[in-house]
Amino acid sequence: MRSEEGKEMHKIEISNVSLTYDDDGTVYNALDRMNFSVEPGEFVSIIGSSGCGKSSTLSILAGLREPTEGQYLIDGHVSHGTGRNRGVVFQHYSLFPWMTAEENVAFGIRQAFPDTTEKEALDIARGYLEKVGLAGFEEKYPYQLSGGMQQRTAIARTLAMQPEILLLDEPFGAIDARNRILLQDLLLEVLSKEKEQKTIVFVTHDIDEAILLSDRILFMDQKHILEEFEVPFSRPRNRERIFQSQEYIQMRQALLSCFFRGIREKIGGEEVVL
Amino acid sequence: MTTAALRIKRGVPVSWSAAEVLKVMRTMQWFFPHVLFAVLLALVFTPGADDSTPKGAFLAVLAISEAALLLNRKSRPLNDVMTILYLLFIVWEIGTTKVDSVNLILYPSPAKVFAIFASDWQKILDGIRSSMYLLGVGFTAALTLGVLLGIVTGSVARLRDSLLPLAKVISPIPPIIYTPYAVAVLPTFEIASIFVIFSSIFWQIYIQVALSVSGIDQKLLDSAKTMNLSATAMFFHVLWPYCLPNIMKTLPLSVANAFMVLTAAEMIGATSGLGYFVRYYADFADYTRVIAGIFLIGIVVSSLNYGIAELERKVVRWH
Repeated sequence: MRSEEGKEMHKIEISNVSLTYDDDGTVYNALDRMNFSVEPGEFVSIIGSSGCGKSSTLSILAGLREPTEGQYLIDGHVSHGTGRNRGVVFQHYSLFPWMTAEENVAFGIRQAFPDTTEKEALDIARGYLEKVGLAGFEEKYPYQLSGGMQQRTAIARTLAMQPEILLLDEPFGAIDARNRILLQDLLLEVLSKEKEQKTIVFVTHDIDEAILLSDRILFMDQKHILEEFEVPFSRPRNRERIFQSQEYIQMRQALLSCFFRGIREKIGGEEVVL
Repeated sequence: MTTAALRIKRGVPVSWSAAEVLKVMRTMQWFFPHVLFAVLLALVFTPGADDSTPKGAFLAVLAISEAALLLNRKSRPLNDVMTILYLLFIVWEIGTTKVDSVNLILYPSPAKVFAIFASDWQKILDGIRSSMYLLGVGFTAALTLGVLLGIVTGSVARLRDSLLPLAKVISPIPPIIYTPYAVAVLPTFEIASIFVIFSSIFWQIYIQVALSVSGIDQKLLDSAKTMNLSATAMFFHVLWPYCLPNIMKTLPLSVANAFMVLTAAEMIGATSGLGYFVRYYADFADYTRVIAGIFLIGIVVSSLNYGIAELERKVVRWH
C-alpha cells in the first residue's frame, strides 16, 4: 500500500512469537505465542499492566531482540535487527546527554541521511524542534530540559529521521498529568502534519491515552494479546467531545474490566472491591 | 536599653560577650594575612644570618601573592590559604635567618631558595621542557591506546571477561618497581622512561574506560541501536563522550602518578629534567637547589592539574 506521496507504508505481523530470556540458567518466559498485526498506516496501542510483556513486544518490533520462536514480518518479509524504516521513542534516557537538543536531532538526521551536511541537518533539526514547541531551547543540554521537553526532543529526533514505522514505548509514562495531555495533543497534531501517514505501535498502561490516540487497542496479559478493541472515533479527534461520549464510557469500562479480570486471576478468583 | 548603650554610659566597656569577640575576630580575619605580609616584609629587611643573598626573587614571590590576594579580596579560601602560607614563610624566615647556629646548607633561607629560580631559570626551563616531552609522549600514547582498547574491551563481553581480570593483576604493580629493569633493557633512556610513564597511566585509563563502557545504560545503547548508528558513530559519538567525564576525573591522578614515575626514572638515568635537577644537586649536597627543584615540581604538577580542570570545564559541558 502506498500513501499519496508515494512512500511505502508498512504492515506489521507478529506470528506465534515467543520470547524467553536465559538469565544465567534461569529461563524466563516474556512472551508466549503472541499473534497480532498492524495494518499499514494504522495507529495501534498495546495496553496492559506492568510485566505483561508490552515492552518485550516493542523491543522485538524495534529489532533489539529476536523472537525465540515464531516470526516477525514487515510487509510479509521476516525482519531481523533494527532498521531505518523504524523509529523508536523510549520512556527514558533516549537523548544523548552530551549533545544539545538541536545536536541530538541533527545527529539523528545525519545518521538517517548521511548525505546531509552538518549545517543542513542543524537547520532541519531546528525546524522539527519548533514543531514540537521547543523554539528557543535548541542549544540546551538534556539536563537543562524538563522531562516533557526531553520527550519532545526525542519525538522531534525520531520524526526527523522519517521512519515509516513509529514505535513508542510509554513515551509519556514519566510525565506529569498536565504535560501528558499537552504531549498527547502535540503528538496527534505533529503526526497529522507529517507528509506520510505512519504505521504506529504505541505501548502504554493508560486507558485514556490509548483511546484518545489509537485506531485499535490490543489488551495484553499473560504474555500475549488477550483482547482487541476498535476505537470508534474519527479524526481529527477532540479530547472533550470524546471523553463525554457514550462510546468512550463503554470502551473504558470494557478495558477496565480486562484489567480487573487480570487482577482477580492473580489474587485467586476473589471479587475485587474498589 | 541595650547593653551596648549601657556600656557607653559607663564609659569603658568592662566585659565583652563571646558573640562580640567573635564578631571582631570575624572582621579581623580579613586583615590578618595583610598584617602577616607586613611582618614578613619587616623580617626580610631586618639584618640576619643571610644578608648576602639577593632578596629580589623572594620579594617578587611575596608581591605576587599579595597582589593575588588583593585582587580576590572576597575569597575566603584564598584569604585562609594565604594566612597559612604567610605563617609558614614567617616560621621559615625566622628559623633560618634570625636564629643563630642554624646550618644554612641544610636549611636554606627562603630568599636563597627563591633566588635559584632567578639565577637558574635557563636550566629550569630546559628541565621542564625535557620532562614535559617524556610526559607528553608517554601520556598521549597511554591515553590514546587506553581509550581505544578500553572501549573495545568494554563493549565486547568476551574480551571484558578475559582481559579485565588480567589487567587487574598487572595494573597494581607500581611501575617504579620495573623502572631500573626498563632502563637496563630498552635501548635508550628516553624510550625507557616513555615506556615506564606509559605503563603508569595506561592501565588506569584502560580499566576505567572498559568498566565505564561495560556499565553504560542499556536504555542509551538501545536508543543508539534503534538509530542504526554505524560503528564509527557509535564509537565517536556515543561511547567516547560517554567515557569522557570519567576520563577527565582520572586524569589528575594519572598526571600525579606519571610525574612520580618520571621523576623516579630521571633520577636513575637522565641527563636533564626535573627529577634529574633534584638528584644532580643532591649529589653535590646543594640542598638549596634541591628544595627549589621540589618546589618547581609542585608548581609544574599543579599547573598541569589546573590545565586539566580548565579543559574539563570546556570539554564536559553537559552536566
